[in-house]
Amino acid sequence: MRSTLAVARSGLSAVLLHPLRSAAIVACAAAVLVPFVAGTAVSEGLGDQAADAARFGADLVVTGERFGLPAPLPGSAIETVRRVPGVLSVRPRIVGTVPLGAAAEPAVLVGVEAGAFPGGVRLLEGRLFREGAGNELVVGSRLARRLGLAPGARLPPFYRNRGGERVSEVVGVFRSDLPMWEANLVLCSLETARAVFDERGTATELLVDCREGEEEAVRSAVARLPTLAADPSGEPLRPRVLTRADLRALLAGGAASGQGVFALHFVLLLAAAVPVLVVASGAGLRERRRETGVLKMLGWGTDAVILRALVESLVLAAAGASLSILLAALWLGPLGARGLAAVLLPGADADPGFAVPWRLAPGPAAAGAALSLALILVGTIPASARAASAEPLEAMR
Amino acid sequence: MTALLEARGVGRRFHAGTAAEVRALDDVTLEVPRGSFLIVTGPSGSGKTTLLALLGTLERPTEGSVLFDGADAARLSEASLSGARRRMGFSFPGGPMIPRLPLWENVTLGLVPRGEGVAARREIARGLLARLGLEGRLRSPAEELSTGEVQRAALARALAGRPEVLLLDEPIANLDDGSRGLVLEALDGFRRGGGTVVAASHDPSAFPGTEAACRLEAGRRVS
Amino acid sequence: MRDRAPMGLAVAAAALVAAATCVLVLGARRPAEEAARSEAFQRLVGGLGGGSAISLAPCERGFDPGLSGSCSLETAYGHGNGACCPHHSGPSLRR
Repeated sequence: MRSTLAVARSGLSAVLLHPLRSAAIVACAAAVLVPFVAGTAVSEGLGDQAADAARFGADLVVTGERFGLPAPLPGSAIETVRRVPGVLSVRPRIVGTVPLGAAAEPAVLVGVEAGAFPGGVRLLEGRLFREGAGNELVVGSRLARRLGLAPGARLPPFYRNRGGERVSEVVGVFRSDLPMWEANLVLCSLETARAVFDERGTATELLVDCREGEEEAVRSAVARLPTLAADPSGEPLRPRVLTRADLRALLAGGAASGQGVFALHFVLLLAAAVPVLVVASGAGLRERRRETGVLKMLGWGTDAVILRALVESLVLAAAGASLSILLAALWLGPLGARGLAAVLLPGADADPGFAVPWRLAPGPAAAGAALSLALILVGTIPASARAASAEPLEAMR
Repeated sequence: MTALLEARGVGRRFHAGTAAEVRALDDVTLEVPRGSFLIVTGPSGSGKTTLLALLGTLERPTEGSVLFDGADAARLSEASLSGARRRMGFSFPGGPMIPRLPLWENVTLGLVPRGEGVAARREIARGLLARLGLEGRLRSPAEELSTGEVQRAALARALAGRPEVLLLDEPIANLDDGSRGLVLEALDGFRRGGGTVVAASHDPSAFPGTEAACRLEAGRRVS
Repeated sequence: MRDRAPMGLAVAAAALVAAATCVLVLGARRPAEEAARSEAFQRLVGGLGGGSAISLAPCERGFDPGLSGSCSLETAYGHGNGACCPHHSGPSLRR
């Protein structure tokens, strides 16, 4: 035990004997791991917020399909679905996209019925739109920043319908620390949304709440409806029903594919970094070989030489992995994921302007640390083993 | 009693089989009895350093065999070879030392696998370096030492492991009279303790009291 | 190199690992305030989002995978031709 500890201490000395090499190895390991740790953290945070979208949304979401493509639902569909046994409430919603401003910012316009809004949590600066008040908008934080909007601002007409053009008023701006889907959001009343898209009485989906335990029965009943069209004798409008479980599966698939794309980025980055890390670990090969020759001359066994190199590698890998976690947390927290958001979140700017979701994931961090240790060992141990098996005098030359 | 070290018809060739082949040593036979002080002498390039390296199992001969305490070094396992080297002490020109390591650590590096603690190693180094006039350089990195200081430090390192035999290549070359005296005194003390010394030197007369000499010329033993 | 430098390095490395572990443990927990804000927002908008994009362009499913059964980019390239939208990389949901 004493000899093992003494050899281990010698491994620590080896780190200090070659400060530049050691620093280069730690820096390489951290450079490879920081984007991976940060990226997986964003993926985890996104997953948390996505789960909330399913959990706190409606029991069922009903949309219409015509020719296999989404089609708007007429107002009569609301009553059709409401009559299905087990349905508690049906709320129509419109979700669409409108360009805003000179740069045609792609805003997500969502029209909902004014109702009982959740209290107790501050969601915005200003206020929500009033029931019955047309053209009152609540805009997302990124949109507000890009277009210079604040509560009270007036938007020149950005849409035209059969009734002509309307000036809109921004009555509220979402807080930037809400889920990121608020960033480009324009929230308004259903009537305002219908006016924007010039779609009278329609909705893009129905948010259906069911009596407890009856979700599956309602889903089956709605799916079996022959049509949601206003005129049953005309072209059918097929119902498409998403349950909460369906949505969770879709969100998981989306998160997984996002993680999959990110994992691909990481593999490419790793492929570029592997030779750098291995070379950095093996740097100073001649000096390392000479040192090993001296140790062998002094009676060190090969296992002691390897142990020394192993301790050196462990310390460097631990330092690199730890530094990467600290730097990733700094990047995501105080630095607001600047730069990273633009890579991971389509539509986000380098300085996102909204709270990028993140939650550190121990699993990927541990896997990344193990990988960096493996790479450092590849650069260090074989070279040490080769030097240890060479004749001492030859190694010292 | 078996000789502590023995070379039987050893030869060492570099770049064997090529046009650049060099015979550093050719059919040299030598016995080093326990407790003896053997000088290996000869002109530069005669194979003195190579012979020391072969006797110390730091290199393998291309012909012949080397025996340490009766055992053929070629048949020893890696662990046994390490064990044999721990019973020896080496000093070559330039040390060699690990440049940025403090001198006390360089001197006692061989004691690390034996589990000696830091404090014990430092005290051992302090004693040895004081005997050789280097007590003020205890914490200096080896790269800051002069050639003569490195040479004395190499002897201190060779003595640190309490070896049975010292293999020294030009231990007093490049030393002034004072330093030379310290080295010879240390070697004398080692011998009085029953140690065996094999030293390569151009100047055997600088080592009074040596029992035997082996002269090499062009890789062959001539006397 | 000072005598105590190796142990100093060991202590520094251990401190770095400890700090990283603390950050990892603390950072792995979701803040309660953030969860509350997320719930309130989702109740307000009726459950929206879930994808990695912040707008519906170019792929609406990149913003919210539940929005539509098909993706306009997939539609443009044709279903069943092996072409998948890179933004959500999943097959269309067919009911």
